[in-house]
Amino acid sequence: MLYILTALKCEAAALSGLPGKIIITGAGGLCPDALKELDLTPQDKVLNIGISGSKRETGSAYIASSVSMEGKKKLYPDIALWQKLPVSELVTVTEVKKEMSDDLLYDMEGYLIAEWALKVIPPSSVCLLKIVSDSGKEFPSKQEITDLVRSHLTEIKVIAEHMSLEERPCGYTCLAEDVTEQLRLTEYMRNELCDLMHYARVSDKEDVLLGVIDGLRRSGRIPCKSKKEGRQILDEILSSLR
Amino acid sequence: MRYSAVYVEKKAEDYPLTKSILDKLQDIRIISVDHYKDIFDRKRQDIAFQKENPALILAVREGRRIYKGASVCQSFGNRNFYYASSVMNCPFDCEYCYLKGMYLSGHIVVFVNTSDYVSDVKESLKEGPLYICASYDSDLCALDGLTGLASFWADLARDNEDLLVELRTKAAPSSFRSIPNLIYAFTISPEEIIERYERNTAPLSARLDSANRALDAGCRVRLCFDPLIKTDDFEDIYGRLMDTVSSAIDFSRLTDVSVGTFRISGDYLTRMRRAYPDSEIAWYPYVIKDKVAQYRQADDKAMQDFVELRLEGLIGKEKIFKWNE
Repeated sequence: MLYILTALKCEAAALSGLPGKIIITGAGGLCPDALKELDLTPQDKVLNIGISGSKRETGSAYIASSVSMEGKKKLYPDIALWQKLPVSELVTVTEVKKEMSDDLLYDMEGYLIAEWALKVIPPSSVCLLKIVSDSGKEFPSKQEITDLVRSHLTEIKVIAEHMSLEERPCGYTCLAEDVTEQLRLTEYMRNELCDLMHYARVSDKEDVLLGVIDGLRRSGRIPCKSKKEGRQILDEILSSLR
Repeated sequence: MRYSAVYVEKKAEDYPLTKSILDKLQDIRIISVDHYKDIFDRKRQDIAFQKENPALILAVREGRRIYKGASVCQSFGNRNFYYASSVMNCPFDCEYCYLKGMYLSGHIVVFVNTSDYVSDVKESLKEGPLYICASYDSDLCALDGLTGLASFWADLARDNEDLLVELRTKAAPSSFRSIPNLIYAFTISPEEIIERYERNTAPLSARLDSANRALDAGCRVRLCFDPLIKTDDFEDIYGRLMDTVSSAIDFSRLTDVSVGTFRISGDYLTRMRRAYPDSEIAWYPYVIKDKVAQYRQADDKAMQDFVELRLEGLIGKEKIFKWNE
C-alpha cells in the first residue's frame, strides 16, 4: 500500500487521480497522532507531499535528500533514478522559521513522518516531496497552496505510480496445510520444507515437488507414522529438487 | 552506468580522486554526508532497489584497508594472500554475488584516500612478498574509466616487485598494462549463465576477445571458471563453454586457471534470501558445511571434475587451481 501523506487538507485537495491512500495528518505536532493510526507493514510505501519554507524560488519542488530535526539523527531516504526533481536537504522545525539558510527547505512534519516510516520500511520506500511556498515572511492562502501542489501534479503522479508498483513476494506456499501435518515434521523440518517450497516456486519446479508428494501418497508413505519417516521424506524431496 | 546520486563524505571532499570522479559525472545530484556509513549502513535497505537505482558514495577508508584472504577464496599457491577493499559493491548485478549478503546496501562506495592504501601495502611488504586480490569486492576494471583504481593497483604492482596483484573482472577491458606481477583474471561463464545471472556484464565473446588482447599485450592472464553454477543441463552448457574457450584461447599462454563451484557463507546466504525472494540461486537447497553453503559433495565434485577434465587437455595440471583442494 502506498500512503500519500499531507499535513493540510488544502494540499490533499490537489492530489486527484493518484494511486494509493491519501491521509491528512495535520500539521506539526498533530502529525504523530495520525501516524499512530496507520499500521505500516514492511511492504508499504510512504510519500509525503507538502509545502515548505525556503529562500529558493517559490513554486519550485524538491525531493528531500535528507531530513533532520534538532537533537535527532539525520535521516536519508534513497533517491531513485526515476525521481527527476532536484534534491535538497529538509529541516523539520517546531515553529515557523523566519530566518532561513540559503539552501535548505523547512517544514513541520517531514522528520516525524520519515522517522516513523523508517522504523518499518526501507529508505527506498520513503519519499518526501516539498514545494516551496514562502520564505517565512508572507504565507500563502489555502487556495494558493492547492494551486502550488497542483502545479506539480505531473511529477507527483510519476513518483506515486512508481512507488505503487507491485510488491515483490516474500514467501510462497504450495502445499496444503494437511500435507505438512501428515508429514509429522518438527518445527525445524517444517521451516526446511517452507524453504524447499519457496525454491520449487522460484525455480519453476513446483510440478516436481508435487509429483514427489503425490507418488509418496499413492505408495502409502504419506501420512507418516513418525517424525523419522517425515525426515526421510523430506530428504527425498530435497534430493529431487537438487 | 547511471547513478541516482553521489554522496560525498565531508572528509573526502578535498581528495583529488573525489574531484576527478565528480568532474566526470555531470548533472548529477551531489549530497554531502558526515560519514559514508550514514548511507551505507542504514537499516532495512532494499538492495534490489538500490542495484536498479545505484548511488555512488565517495569516502575515506579508515582502519583496515587490506584483509587476509578468506578460506572460500583461492590463494593460487601464494603464501601471503590478502584482498584489498578500495571499492565496496559492484556496478554489475550478478544474482549469485556474495556482496548481496555481505553488505547492508547495494550502493557503491569508492574510497578516495589511495595514498593510505600505498602506505598499507608498503608496510605489509616489509613482512615479505604479498599477493593481493584488489578486485574482489567490486569490479575495478569495469569502474576504471570513472575511478582509475584498476590503473592505481597496476601502478602499485609496477612500483613494488614483491607485490603480486590480481584484477578480476567480468568486463571486457580494451587496454592493459604489461607488468610481470599483475594478473588480469577473467571470470568465464557460459553465455546462458551470463544472460540469466550476470546482469550487465560483458558477453562471453567480449571477455574472450579482451583476454586475447591482454595476452597479445604481453600481460599475465588467468581464466576463472568460478563460480560454476548447477543447472539441469550443466554438462551441455559447460561442455559448449569449454569448446568455445578452447578454440578462442591459446591456453599455453595463460598464467593459470581456476575452477570453483558456487559457495557462499551461510550468513550471507540468509541475507541474500531476504533481499532476493525470487532468486533461484539464493533459494537453492545447499548443504551447509563449515558455515559455508555449497552444493552437495557429489554434485560439487562432478561439476569440478567435468570442467577440470576438459582443462587438463589444455593446460598443465599444476596450473589448475581448485577452491576446495
